[in-house]
Amino acid sequence: MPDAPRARDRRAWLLGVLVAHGLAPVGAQALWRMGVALRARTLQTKREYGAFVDAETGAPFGDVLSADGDELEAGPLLRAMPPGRRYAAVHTHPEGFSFSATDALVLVAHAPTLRTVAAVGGHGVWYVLSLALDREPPALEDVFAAFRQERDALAPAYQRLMEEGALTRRAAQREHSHTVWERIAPALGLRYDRV
Amino acid sequence: MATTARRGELTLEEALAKARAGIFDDRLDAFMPPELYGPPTAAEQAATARRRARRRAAAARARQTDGRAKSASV
Repeated sequence: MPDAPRARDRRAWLLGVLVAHGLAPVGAQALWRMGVALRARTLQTKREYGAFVDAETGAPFGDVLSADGDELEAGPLLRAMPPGRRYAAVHTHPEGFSFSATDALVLVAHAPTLRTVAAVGGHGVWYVLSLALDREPPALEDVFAAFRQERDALAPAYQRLMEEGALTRRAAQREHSHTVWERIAPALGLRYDRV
Repeated sequence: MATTARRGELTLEEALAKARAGIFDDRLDAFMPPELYGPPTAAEQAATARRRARRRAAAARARQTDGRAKSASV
């Protein structure tokens, strides 16, 4: 991952990352605007929201979804997507965690129509996940197993950091979830970034 | 292949069913269970004790206020 640029360049950095994840520039702009709007709603209500945009044109697809608890039901929209088009999803993570295993599984299960999944944390951090353009999609079972194995392998290190007082449990969960994806994404043929 | 899971965690079968149904499941306990990091640390136990003490003090104040209001209305 490149060095973090100054805050005023962060938007340009994020837009560049979204383009690298397969969105056209106009699609990246639309996803960014949608993510900013959803994060504002999340900060007001503490709820999770999600939406889809056309990766090429930036046109929104369907209404904004609001989560039931921490579960965002996107099935009806995913099933209504016309074949041949490519879409990007953005949803909020109020606590700022990286992707859950099922976030990645939804991406892989609905590829190639679903091109990219982004999550915006309550603290303003963006996470972006997509299938690498030059790779075959991984098996769903492999994604699940890799996530679980890497998560368990890294857990003792984060437990130590917590016990030393370097991280709170929440911060450990947040950083841990990011490190898991950073480590497993390349081998699975996924592209992953945190901005 | 059936999988075992910690309490609150999704099994492989549950995770695949949710993914195919298009459900983004972000329940923290379902993918990063707190037990991963062991039992509460000394700092967490101290923080819990402070929160409990604050709640007890607030409840005592509320009872006192309630008692005074009742005696004033008699």
